Amino acid sequence: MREKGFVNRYWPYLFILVPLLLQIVFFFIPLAQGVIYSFTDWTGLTSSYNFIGIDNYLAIFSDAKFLSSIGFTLLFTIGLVVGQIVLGIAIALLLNQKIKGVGLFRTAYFFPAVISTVTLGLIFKQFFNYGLAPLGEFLGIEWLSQSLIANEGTAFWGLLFVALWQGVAIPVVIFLANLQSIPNEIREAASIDGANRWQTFKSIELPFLSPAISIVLILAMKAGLTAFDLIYALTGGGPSGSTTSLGLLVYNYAFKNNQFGYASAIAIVLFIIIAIVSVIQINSSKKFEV
Amino acid sequence: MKKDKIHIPTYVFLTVGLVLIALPMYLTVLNSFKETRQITGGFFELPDPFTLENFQRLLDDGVVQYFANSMTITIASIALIILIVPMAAYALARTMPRNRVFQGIYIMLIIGIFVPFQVIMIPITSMMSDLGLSSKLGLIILYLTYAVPQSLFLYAGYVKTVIPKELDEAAAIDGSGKFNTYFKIIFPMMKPMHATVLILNALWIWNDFLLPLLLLNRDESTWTLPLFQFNYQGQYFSDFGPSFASYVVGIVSILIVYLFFQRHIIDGMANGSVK
Repeated sequence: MREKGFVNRYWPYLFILVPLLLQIVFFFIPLAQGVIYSFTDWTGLTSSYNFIGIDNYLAIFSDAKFLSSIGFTLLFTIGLVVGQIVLGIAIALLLNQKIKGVGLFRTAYFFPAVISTVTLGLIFKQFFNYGLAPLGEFLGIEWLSQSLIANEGTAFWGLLFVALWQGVAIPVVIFLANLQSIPNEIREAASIDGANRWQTFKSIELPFLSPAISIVLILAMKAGLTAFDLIYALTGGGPSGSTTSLGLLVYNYAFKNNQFGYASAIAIVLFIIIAIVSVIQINSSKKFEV
Repeated sequence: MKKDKIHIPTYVFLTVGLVLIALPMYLTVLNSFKETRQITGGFFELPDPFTLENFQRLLDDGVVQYFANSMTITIASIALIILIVPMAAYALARTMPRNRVFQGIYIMLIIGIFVPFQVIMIPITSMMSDLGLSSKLGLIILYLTYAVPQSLFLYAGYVKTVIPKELDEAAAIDGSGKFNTYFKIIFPMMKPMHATVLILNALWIWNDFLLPLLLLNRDESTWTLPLFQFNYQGQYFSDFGPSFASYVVGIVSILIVYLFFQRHIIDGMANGSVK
């Protein structure tokens, strides 16, 4: 019976032991190492390195690759956020109507969310190269006759298109769930009062959607700032580095250039950016909470 | 009559979107049945001649092995997540209100939600390599670890709001030990949350690319399906018929799962995103 007494007293420690150990070994230790490496000149190839203070951080801000990458990443993130919210709400409104066959449309519109992002990137790469480009040539449309992702001017848009093609599905699910939670009585009251479509949207649907908007905003922002899979598969960061996200830049510096220390410093900067926008977002969404 | 008015534009918009979604899928399947030279020359044409050679080549190149790797890794990770995480969530949900130590541990376990993977990417890659864990086993351990923050958060919220404490007390009075209470009473009551956690993590793990790239790229026999697809496209740079077949395998397998469990998957995505 002594064992039973032990379990009954210390059971919470036993129940949390495994996840706690895992988090310490495979999350907190590497996290600390990441911070430490960012102050070193470690290449990743040797076992020794020197501490170089904040040199890596100073170098970042005069690194043309970093500056171009942060510009691209911010634009891409803004595109993703705006696209997911605007298109997401528009599609959710369409799918919320009681029309025949709406179930089938929903099935189709949600499907992109479950496809592997890397597979999708590979598919669209082929599609842009061998499908759209010949088509553009055939139709005599100049900007289309070259692969969208091979041209610096259009690669951004090609990438954003594919990102939204997949990325809008989950926001639609979230917005639709919120629209469906609006009580029928409220809609009826509005229509009795003679509210038109826009008034209904502005005064009834939008307030119900606002918690969902802040969720989608956070998700889209994190997805944009850390984007890797799609870009790695679709453009590889090119042409001439114009679509290299911060996530990809960290990978390239670490594993292609063997600059573990410097890449770690960029990762920490990325972390700080995400932390700042998260704090701003959480604080400002509190003000609007219903 | 008023209702009919809004129908037509709705259908028009929805159909345009439907075509936009279906077209890349349709073209992928279509091109997988063509010879490579027809893919470059006639991307939108029907296969002429119709060929299954791409799929034959895919089988010869070991697609079954990569598919099996993905399955093993996904199933093993999910089983471990469901075994380990709800237990901890239950313990924390019960102890946190009265105990500051457990409040601190809870925060430690969920803080990972806010940290971008890039921050630990470099150290974890070299650590796993040093430990000899650049393998399927190592990958499963990492999936379990990185599933903890979100899954624990979801489970703990569920226990707090849905499973009353009086239930534990009644069980204790009946002489049920803690492990018994948990496995016989609490665990089955978490069923809706098991579904959500299972779906969210299964989709993430099955589709993930970066962790397999970091851990498994050196050893071809351990590749997962997405990693194989990526490397396959690079390998057959100019002869990409088989690549199309590899996309079809990926898309069709997930489509079948999606059509069977659509309701659960959509609910899971909706629940999981609400942080």
